[in-house]
This record gives sequence, C-alpha cells and structure tokens, in this order.
Amino acid sequence: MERKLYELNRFDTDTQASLIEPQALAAGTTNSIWLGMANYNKAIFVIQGGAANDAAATLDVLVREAQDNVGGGAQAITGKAITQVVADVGFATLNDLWLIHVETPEMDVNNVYTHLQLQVIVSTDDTWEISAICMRQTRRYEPAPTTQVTELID
Amino acid sequence: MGAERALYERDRHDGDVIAEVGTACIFVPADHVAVTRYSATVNMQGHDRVLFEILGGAAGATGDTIIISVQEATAEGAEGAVAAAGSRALASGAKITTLPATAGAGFATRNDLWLIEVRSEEMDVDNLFNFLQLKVVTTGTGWVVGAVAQRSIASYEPVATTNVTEVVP
Repeated sequence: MERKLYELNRFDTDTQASLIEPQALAAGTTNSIWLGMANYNKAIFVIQGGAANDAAATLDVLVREAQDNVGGGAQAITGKAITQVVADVGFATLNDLWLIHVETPEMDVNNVYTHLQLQVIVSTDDTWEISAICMRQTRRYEPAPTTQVTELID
Repeated sequence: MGAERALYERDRHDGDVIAEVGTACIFVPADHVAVTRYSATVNMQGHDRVLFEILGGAAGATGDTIIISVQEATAEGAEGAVAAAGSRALASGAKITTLPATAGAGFATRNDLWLIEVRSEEMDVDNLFNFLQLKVVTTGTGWVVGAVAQRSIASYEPVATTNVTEVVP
C-alpha cells in the first residue's frame, strides 16, 4: 500500500510540534530548537510570513548547524539564508512562504555537525507574524560516504 | 544517473494563482478572534495527495476552542470569511480535527501541529469538486494559526474507472 505523505517524512521536531509556532515575533533574534539530522539526509524548512508592523521592518532567516542539541560549536551554513526582506508598503497584508533546503552533505559532517536550527532576525522596534515547520526525509544514504576512504572510483 | 531531486521539487508547498494574485501561504499566520475563516483553495488537478500542515500558536484564554476541517469546492477561492463556490465537507467522509480542541491552562504557550492528509480519490471528482480548502473555526478570544498545503504530483488518476464498464485486474 502506498505510504502517506506524513509517513514519508517527519514534520514535527524532536521535542515539540511546530518548529516556530505562529506568533508576532518581536524585534531581535529568535532561535528555534535544534533538530537532529543523524537519521535523515534532507530537511526543508517551510517558513510562513504574515503581517509586519511597519513598512521599514526587515527580516532575515537562516539555517545554522551545531555539534549537539544545545548548540555546541554553532555556525551558519553557507548559502542557507534567504535574501533580507523589507516589509515595504504592503506590510499589513504580507503573505510570504520561504523554503530553505538542506542536505546532510552540505553540513560539516566531518566535524560532527549533526543538528540544524532556524534563526529569525526581526529589525529593531518591529514585529513580524512568523511560523515555521521543518520536514525531514529519512536517511537513505550516508551523509559523507567517503570520509575515511582513500579513493572512490565510480 | 540523475541527481536526486530536492524536497521542494518533489512536492508543491505554495498556493495557486487566485483571481490573478499569487498565493504563498494558503492561511497566513495571524491571530483569529472568534471567527470562521477559510483558507485559499488548492487545485488538486495534477496532484493525487495533499497534506495540510496547520500550525497553532497561543490562544487567548483557557476556554478558547478551535475546529479545523477540510472542504471540497467546485471553484477557486481566496483566504477569507467566505467559502469558495460549492464548498462543502468531503462527501466521502469528514476530515476534521478532534472536536473541539480547547486551549486549556497552557493557552498562552501552546505549540500545535495538525496534519490532515487527503487523497484525490476521496474527493467528488465526478461532480467537478477539484478544489480543497481548510475551514478554521475559533471561539473565544483568539488563536494564532497558520497553514501550508503540501501537494504531491499525481501518479494515478483520481477516479480511474469513471466511464469504464468494468475493470478486471
């Protein structure tokens, strides 16, 4: 029998339901919890954006990696950030959807980076309606299959 | 051998163009106060499954409730207080959350994720019900809710035997 979409991938986090529950995020940096990627080879962060409070409000969203579930050695992953968004004149009726895709070979697996986090930054004195989930695909391949192999002949 | 496709290539996560306006989120995250609200519709032609991912944040008070269900419709419709044309509960059987979900003592710090999966064969395709939308009913002082629809490309016809006299498998 064909598997359901909710069986193909994991939609909740390791310790809670939504990664970032819908809310008016305050100014400053909001970090999601850390998601373990040991049993997964792909993840897609699905970020929804609603209204901002001001036309000049800005939003940055990026993915970081760490060596454990408390952020040890946390660092940004190159190329896994949206272009900064400016709310502009339509700030009260914004409807945005951002997708950030990460595959485990893009993580620093050799240095034991095993966890991912979503970081959202709202500009000073502003707010932005944000929510986010992360969908993780069960691992089918080794993230870095040739770490200790001398040579791979394909 | 080709590269494995990205997750965002395999399924569609955004909404449709409705009345010449592109729709990103089918239900924009916002605080909904004692209201019945419909998501933007998603056209299921060309797709065989959809997973509605409904995210819930804080409610306003202990006794606030929320009911989320899926409706099928014969035409597109934008997010709002008015249902799309012909919108009704699925004739094949209700797709609805446990009634009602009450906010409870932890109403201010709630974090919920409801997943509702619908297959196209559960829709009344024969009678042109090609669209789906969420119906979200909140009572009390409000509930912050947002939703995304993830649609999977059709591998099969939704109703393969509409005009076939008999199928002998």
